Amino acid sequence: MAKGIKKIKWTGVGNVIAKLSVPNQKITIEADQFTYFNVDSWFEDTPESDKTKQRFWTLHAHNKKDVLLEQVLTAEQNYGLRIQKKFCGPYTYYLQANLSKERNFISTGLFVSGHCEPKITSTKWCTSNDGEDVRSSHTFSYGHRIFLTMNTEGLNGYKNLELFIYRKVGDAKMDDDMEVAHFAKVEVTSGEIDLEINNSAFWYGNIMMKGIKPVEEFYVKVKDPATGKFILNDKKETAHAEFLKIQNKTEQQHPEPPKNLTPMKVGEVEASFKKYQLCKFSKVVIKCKEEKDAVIFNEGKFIKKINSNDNSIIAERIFYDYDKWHIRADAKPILNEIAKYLIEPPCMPVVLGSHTDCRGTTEYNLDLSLKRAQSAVDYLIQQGIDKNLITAKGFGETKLINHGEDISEALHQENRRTSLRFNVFGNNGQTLLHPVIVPSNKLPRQTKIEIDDFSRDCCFKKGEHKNEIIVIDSYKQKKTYPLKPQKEGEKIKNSVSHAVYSFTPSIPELWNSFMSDETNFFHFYLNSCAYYSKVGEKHPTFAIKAYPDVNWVTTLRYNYFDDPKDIPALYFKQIPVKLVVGIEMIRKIEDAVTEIIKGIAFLSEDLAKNAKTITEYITEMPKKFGVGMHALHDFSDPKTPTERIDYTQKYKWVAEVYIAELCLGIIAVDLLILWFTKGKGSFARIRKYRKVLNAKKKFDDMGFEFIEPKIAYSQGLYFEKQPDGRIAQVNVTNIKATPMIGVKYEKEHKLIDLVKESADGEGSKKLLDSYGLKTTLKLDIKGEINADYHTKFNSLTKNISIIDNATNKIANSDGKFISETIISLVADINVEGSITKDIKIIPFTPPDHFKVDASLKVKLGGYISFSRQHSFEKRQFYHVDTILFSGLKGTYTLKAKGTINDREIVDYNPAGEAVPFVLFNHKTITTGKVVSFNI
Amino acid sequence: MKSKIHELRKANNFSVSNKAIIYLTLIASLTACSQKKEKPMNEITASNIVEKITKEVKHYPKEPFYYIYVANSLCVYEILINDYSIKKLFKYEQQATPIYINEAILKSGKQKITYRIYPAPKEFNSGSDVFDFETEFRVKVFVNDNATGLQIENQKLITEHNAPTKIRMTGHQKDIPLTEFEGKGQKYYEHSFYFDAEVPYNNEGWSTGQDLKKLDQKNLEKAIIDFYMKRKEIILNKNKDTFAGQVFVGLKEQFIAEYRDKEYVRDAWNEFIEVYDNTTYEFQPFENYKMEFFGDGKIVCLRQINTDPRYREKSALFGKYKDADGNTRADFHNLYLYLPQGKKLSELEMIR
Repeated sequence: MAKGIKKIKWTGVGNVIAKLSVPNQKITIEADQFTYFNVDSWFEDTPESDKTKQRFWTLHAHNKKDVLLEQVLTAEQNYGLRIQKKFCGPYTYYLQANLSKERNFISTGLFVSGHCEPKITSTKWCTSNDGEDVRSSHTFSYGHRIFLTMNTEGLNGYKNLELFIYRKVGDAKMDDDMEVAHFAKVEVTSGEIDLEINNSAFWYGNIMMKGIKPVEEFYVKVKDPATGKFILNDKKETAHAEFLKIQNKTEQQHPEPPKNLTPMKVGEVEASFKKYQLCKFSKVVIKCKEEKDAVIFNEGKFIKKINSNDNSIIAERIFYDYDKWHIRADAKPILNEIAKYLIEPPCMPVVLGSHTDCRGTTEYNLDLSLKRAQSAVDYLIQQGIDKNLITAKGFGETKLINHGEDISEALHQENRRTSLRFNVFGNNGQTLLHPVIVPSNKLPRQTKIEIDDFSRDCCFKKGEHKNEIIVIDSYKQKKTYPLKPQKEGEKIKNSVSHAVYSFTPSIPELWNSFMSDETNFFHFYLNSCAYYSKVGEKHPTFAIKAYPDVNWVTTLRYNYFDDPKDIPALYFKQIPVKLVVGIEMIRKIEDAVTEIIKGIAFLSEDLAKNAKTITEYITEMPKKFGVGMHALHDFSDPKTPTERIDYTQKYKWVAEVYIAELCLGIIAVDLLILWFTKGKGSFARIRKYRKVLNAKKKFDDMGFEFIEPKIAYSQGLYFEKQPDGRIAQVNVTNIKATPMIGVKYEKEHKLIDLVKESADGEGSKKLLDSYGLKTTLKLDIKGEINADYHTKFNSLTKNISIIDNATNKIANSDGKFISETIISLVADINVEGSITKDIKIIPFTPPDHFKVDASLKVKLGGYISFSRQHSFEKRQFYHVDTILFSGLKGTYTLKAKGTINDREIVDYNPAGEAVPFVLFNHKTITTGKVVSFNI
Repeated sequence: MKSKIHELRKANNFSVSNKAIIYLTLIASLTACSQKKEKPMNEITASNIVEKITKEVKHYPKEPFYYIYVANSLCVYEILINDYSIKKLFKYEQQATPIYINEAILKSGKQKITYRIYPAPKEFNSGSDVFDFETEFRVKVFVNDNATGLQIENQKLITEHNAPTKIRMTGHQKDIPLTEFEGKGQKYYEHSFYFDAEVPYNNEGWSTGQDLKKLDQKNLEKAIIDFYMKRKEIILNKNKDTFAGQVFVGLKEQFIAEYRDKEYVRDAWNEFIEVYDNTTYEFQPFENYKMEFFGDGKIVCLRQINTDPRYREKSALFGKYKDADGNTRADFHNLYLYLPQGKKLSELEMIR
């Protein structure tokens, strides 16, 4: 039940600027005069007795949290607020009244800002920030750091003033004066401009050209970019800070962009120094000789994002449409900017808080805010941000910026927001991760950690925040390195060196050790009041995640032994491995083959029953296989002595599965030919032929000339650092097959036999009817399908790319290899006696997968094509082969006896009976899934 | 099972019906009888052409019959025997049945086969208008014996020719040979090869004709157009006797070369002319043509300039009609003209 003060109001006493005010939301009052406020309305359930009680009035910073002024008044007393000119400007304060000291930050208050004519009241040139005015006592040199402080009126909260520095040339007219520097985005905080000028060395060069004087004098002009007008001083002059004096002398100092320096101080009322802590560190860099220096933490990178007015650390906000959660077009550039920032190291963890406006039920709004959070998270992930860096929360309507149902749509919109904040401050620190790929402890990498600006001044947790950095690795090995804090004005770089190494994957549980996340973590503990203040083993500041530098390689050769010159290039990084030849087939492979044969759609029942025979015949092939399974340690640098562990014997079954797969590819064409010769050579005969294959390659009786495949295949699994610094598991396969499939088949078939033995020989039957029993069909099939390509599967992007070495191009990124060459088929029809019909044949329109650049390459009269689809799905990396026979269809036209004139159909009558005949239907053999690995 | 005749009807544009064939045959015979007395014996008429041709056809103990099988892939083609165009296939298809070539073989000896190939239409050729590297073209020349009825087992392969290829090494190590068509990347390719044929007949054909390329081309073109127009007139006036006279030599030589019997000649003749009685027959505009020379410059004809595969390189003079199945057919008047020695341009004759 809501109780207490619902709203406060202006009592009408005091001067208010109506055009700069929004009723019930924001009030702008004139400077230097008291304006009075009191309670406007009460929540329904407030007891009458409460309404006469004393009230706690609080004036807050813009964030509604930090209290600047507190005052307790009776019910009768009006609260009077006066804003000094210095604090006037676009900055808004928040005024609130409560019945108790416990403030709840709902929208019961009013935003207040003060207004007066913008003006610069006083200025000073100093040698340190906001220091003593030295303009009369000190002459600077070019290259010195120069500090400028300007006190202003009516400008508080500006963030984008433009400041110009002029060199005084003549005495009389300013027009001759020369502009030497220009600073954009100058901020006014607490009515003050505090600027550190680091680039005076550059002025020197400019002035030199124009004839430099022994002592030059400079002054300043300030412009409001909104109005384009220069800000005046009390004397209505545009020139301020007369004069800065610089002698004709240069001092070496590294130039840097100028900085806005005003810390979080809010007028005379109170100084909120909360984040202006000196127990802190500013930068952490990890250096490892093989890798680029990694800036894992950099205060400068996000501190500029801090809103210096209200001291919050909200980086950005995006807004939503009413009742919607999609990312609006105007939000995308903001998120893109954030993404760009998040993606590069140091990868700062970010917290997303999503909110709704107050309309709708609480539950509904909570759900809506979660959707908003999710849409923002999804968007960032799409941009490549590691999802582990993002924490998202939905707050529903619990944290409104603007309260009340009746507020303007613009104010509602301000509520419908997602804010993004960095998760490194105070107790909030989330561990920063730095992944590396390193060898095992036999070859540890000395890794240097550099810490900048480590300081312990004003530490609140003196007992806990020690001058040290602690490292604990996954073996619970602990090491403490002392750090030297820097005193004010000092610049010390702390540096420690630690040996980083990965786990030794000595237990060859290949897939498990590769895929599980058992990487070696090195947790670093570095705490300060500003960042990562929480101390404890569970709260490391950052961690080095060490992935093993190992490639688990599977190598397979079929028929490739007699060609030693080919072999080195087929190994990973040309590291040769030993292959085991003549693997004995086991039961497993038989099962696998039987399974796949069952999956071939067109096989007749007979052949399916013969699966056993097929496996028998396959078991004759392995003598030509060589297999190796190895772990290549320290893979990224093959020049170092590389440890190779041979797992071949242990993982023989894996090898056998590969062999089974290859055998299938090889027999697939045989099966296809079997199909379209309608089983003319029974399987037993093929088997017989295969048996004599070694002795006699051409088997005339069958019409086959079998071109033996020659296949080299290797697969590597390893970790790879991505350009964005993340580590991906990659799977690379190199495939070279010359040929993958090769066939020569030339044989004449009696049409009648084809008709007899085929269920779909409709065309053959027609031909038979017109030409009689002696008609033959001569099939001439020949060609080789070669493959020379590699695939790369990236577990982060889930992308499978294929690079075809034959064409030297990235064939595609869908993981599909399509052989460039295809096996072609010619069918000649031979008729006894003089022919009466011309028969023309064409292949069936090829299926989709054969499309290349949206157009087809259709071979006449028919063809066999091969494609292999590599895919990743349900945590499996696998491929499926498709062997396609285009089929043949044809048309007859009566052959003219007198051949003098050509008489041809130019337009078919669609209602006519001229139906083209089908000689063979098209067929596709798709082998079963061949799984390379599971994740 | 459908009867052979029925099957024929379905696919055949020429024979309107079985009855029609008989009817037409009767008319032709009757006309022949009635005109015999009035016309001189050597005059060729629609009624005596069958007799005249049959008389010239000789039979031999061995009747060598030559034919080719053409296998084209990723290309379309025109094929010439002794520089005479024997087959054009601009539709993207492959012919599975043989192409008879005896009519172009004038006498025994060395015969020349020329093929002109063009890339397959873009939609079958990866969208390209030049030859793909996998373009294939194969010609197999066979001989059989007509005297024993062209039995399959008597077929003999004379020669086989494949369009020339080059080997390109591909792959990471440049060790994978890829066979590529020599004309890869081009838009047109022409190649010739030879084979020996032995035939018992001797056709003069166009061998003694004048070299037409040496004549004034403008006058030649005018003379050819006149000839084409004359043909059109003949058809329109249904002047079958003149028509018979025009086609006699060509048909005669063809049937001599193919050892055809009387029945075949008669069927062929009827098939040839009955179309002109089709009431739907209509000549098409005679335009967009070019002169094409064959027979080493001794033969000339007018061909259409047209990219539509149905009309590409077809005769410039053509009519259209509806066949029995309701299909629209085009009748391209192939007028391969030559000029015998000593004759004037106005005396161009049709040799095929």
